[in-house]
Amino acid sequence: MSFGALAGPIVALLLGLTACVIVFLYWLRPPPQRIVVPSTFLWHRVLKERKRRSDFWRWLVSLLVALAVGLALAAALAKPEIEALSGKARRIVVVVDDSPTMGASTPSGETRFERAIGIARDLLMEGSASSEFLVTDTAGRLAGTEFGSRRTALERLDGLRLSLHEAAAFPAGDPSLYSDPETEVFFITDGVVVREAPSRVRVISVFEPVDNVGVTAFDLRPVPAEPNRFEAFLEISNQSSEPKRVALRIDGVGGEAMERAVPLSPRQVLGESVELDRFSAGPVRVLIDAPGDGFELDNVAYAYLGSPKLARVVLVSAGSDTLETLLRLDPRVSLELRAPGDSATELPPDLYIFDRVAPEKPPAAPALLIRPGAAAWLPAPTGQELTKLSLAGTAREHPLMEHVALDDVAVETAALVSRGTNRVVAGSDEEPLILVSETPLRFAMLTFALEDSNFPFQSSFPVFLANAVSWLASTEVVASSLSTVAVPVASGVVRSIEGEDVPSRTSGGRTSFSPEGPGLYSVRGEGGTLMVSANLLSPRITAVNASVLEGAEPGRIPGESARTAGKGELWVGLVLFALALLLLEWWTYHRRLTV
Amino acid sequence: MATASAVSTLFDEEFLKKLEYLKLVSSRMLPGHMRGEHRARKKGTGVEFADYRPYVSGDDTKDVDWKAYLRLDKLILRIFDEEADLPIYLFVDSSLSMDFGEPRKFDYARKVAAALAYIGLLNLDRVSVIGYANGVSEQIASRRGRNQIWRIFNFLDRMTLSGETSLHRTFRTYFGSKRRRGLVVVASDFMDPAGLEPAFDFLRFQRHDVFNVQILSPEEMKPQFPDEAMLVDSESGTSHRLHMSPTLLAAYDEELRKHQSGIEAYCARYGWGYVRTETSIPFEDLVIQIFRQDRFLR
Repeated sequence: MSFGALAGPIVALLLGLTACVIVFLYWLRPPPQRIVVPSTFLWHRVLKERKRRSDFWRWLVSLLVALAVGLALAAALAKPEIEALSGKARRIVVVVDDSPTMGASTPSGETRFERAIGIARDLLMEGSASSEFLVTDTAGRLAGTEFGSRRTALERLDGLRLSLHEAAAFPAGDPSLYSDPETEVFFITDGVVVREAPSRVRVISVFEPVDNVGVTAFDLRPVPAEPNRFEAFLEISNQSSEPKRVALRIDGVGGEAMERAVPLSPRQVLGESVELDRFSAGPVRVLIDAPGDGFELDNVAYAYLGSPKLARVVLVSAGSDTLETLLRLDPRVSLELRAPGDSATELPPDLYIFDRVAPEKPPAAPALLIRPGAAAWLPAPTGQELTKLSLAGTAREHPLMEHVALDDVAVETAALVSRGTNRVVAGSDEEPLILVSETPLRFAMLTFALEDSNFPFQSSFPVFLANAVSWLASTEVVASSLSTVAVPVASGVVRSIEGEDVPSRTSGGRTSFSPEGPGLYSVRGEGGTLMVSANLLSPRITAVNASVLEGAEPGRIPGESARTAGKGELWVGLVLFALALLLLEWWTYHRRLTV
Repeated sequence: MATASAVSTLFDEEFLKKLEYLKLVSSRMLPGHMRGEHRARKKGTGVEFADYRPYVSGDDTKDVDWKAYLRLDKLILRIFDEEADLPIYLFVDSSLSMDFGEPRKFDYARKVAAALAYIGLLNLDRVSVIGYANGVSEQIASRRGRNQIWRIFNFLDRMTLSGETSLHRTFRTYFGSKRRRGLVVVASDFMDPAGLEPAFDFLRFQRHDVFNVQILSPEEMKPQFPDEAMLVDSESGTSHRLHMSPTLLAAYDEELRKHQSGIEAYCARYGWGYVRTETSIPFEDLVIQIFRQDRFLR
């Protein structure tokens, strides 16, 4: 027998003191009240006729009951443990796989995750009261490697939710944790996302095959040859063991919809492009429905058609035939010309182009600035002039520089500006030639005038200008997984497509939030609005049946022939025993059985 | 009776006036030594003619009817009904058990005795008052005539409590010497550990008429004690430890009822009077109403 709360000698002292106090109090019990009555003659007759109980035995029984109650309560304080009754003290680590595939349903109707929580709860009920427990997960949500009480572990378990992050791994933790022979480590998983665990870990499978058809890719792009036409690239994967006839539906914000049925054979992945000519700019949703589908997270995906079909561009310039000609030739552009200093109060356009002009304040719309000069909100010029430059070091992955070849571009003179927090997409950090900014206002800035270079005469210039219109005049859309999203918007307010506020954090000029599921989120900040399409879109997760535990018996703990039933804690039993004795004493007293 | 309150604190004037209208009637007519308002069967020296009988030697010659002798030439005696007084023996329990109740049972008993003594004296009966506990503790010699009431009141007023109850010893002591048969009134709680039957039998053999007045206090009728109590007998000092319970109280109630019904049954069997009362019942009501209901006073 051991004690979970107190040391053995202290427990012995506690019990001894309790017994002494009770016996002492019994000895101190006040004598019965003496009452003088006229005559005890009749009482004598009454008592003679009644079967008398011995006062001593009554006193003794009462004392024993009080001792039993007192000692039981005192012993309960010490949290005693008897291995045969309450199990032995153990150190148990329970790792729960909370990766997205654990959201797949099982034939019983509950999800793999719910089943894992149930198994974890059973594991936490094992062992004695002094057992130590640690609950952790594969998504890293339950931080810490400190062992705690059963109650603490159960509270941690209750707070655990299914993660939407694709990134999941067996927690590294303290390496000694998994090598300590006294520590039992259980890993409850479906074996799909997290496929490995240390050797000593006892893996409990919750995997059971389930039918699943999911969207693994959904992207909206302009048709290369026709920039104001868009198409959607869609990929659907059937991870079921049988053919599925999938109902596919694509909805647009203007009520546009496209429906069709897609037959898919087992393990087939269907990829195709869908023209979105009829769709207005705004949210687009794809939804699939397959009979018997057991994993909902990948049945829907969202995108945002960001580019307007006709962009209003205001060119502020003292005169630039090259720019004016090229912009007029772009079918997506509706051009307005404005002289420097001509302030207008009309609705802001989709894009400003400032040619050798620098507005004092940030404009109300994204801007392309060509050697703008000094302004407080722009990268500060150092006053030095750079000469004889080439546009080496191009960031071709940036939308502005996509398909733009600058190898033959030469710059005669350019202003040397400080890069600041802006990104250099052409030139070097020390001698930037083209900079872009995402926040607080989206703009692109050329540090040289077109006349001071041969850039306007290069074939890449129209492409650059088209890219600038596309990137700057369109609503920026960020495609994201369901993990935490961080966008370059300062003090952004995040709302879901349904208009509900989403909790977000702002730090370092970026706004971050965790999507609650697939959907579209708008982030409105100082520099405008940015759309985030958060989708699962993961072939790895859609493949919910690709488990390393295929064939393992679900719920079985390796190395144990049968699960040991959870045992209660002895101190609870002692308290209940004391309460039962008190109730019995109360009942017998009020029925005058013990008096 | 104007000076009653000045003499005794037990009775007020109003109360005594009520008593004047009440008459004590014995269930039997009993002879007495002195003339009273009760007609006795004994022929004697009264004034009311009853019969004649022949003169025999030794008869008082003053009762000879000389006119009849002259007519008949025979000595014939005139016989008159003798008007005899009724001896009333008022026994007042002065044991320590009477020191309970509000008012005390002892005071209640003394009032009973005083009332009966008063009515007995009004009827020219011979009244004796005896205080008893474990034997006769104090007594006042038999009195006759209404003027004697003050002596009796004073005696009752001075009476004190002491000792245990023993009715049998009391009766044996008191009636051991020759006493005339009469009405024996016992005002007591009748809590006699030795039992009542030997005492009652003794009175019955003496051919007394008996009227028992049992006086109990409310706490004897409905005792209320804490859960655990040590009951101490006021007379003997013996104690009993009790763990009070409804069943125990019910058993006591049953025992009390048996005790009372035992006395009542004995009295009924031999034509004795019996009444029981509580000290909480006003004394005047007891005398005027309960005694009437029980046909004690007519």
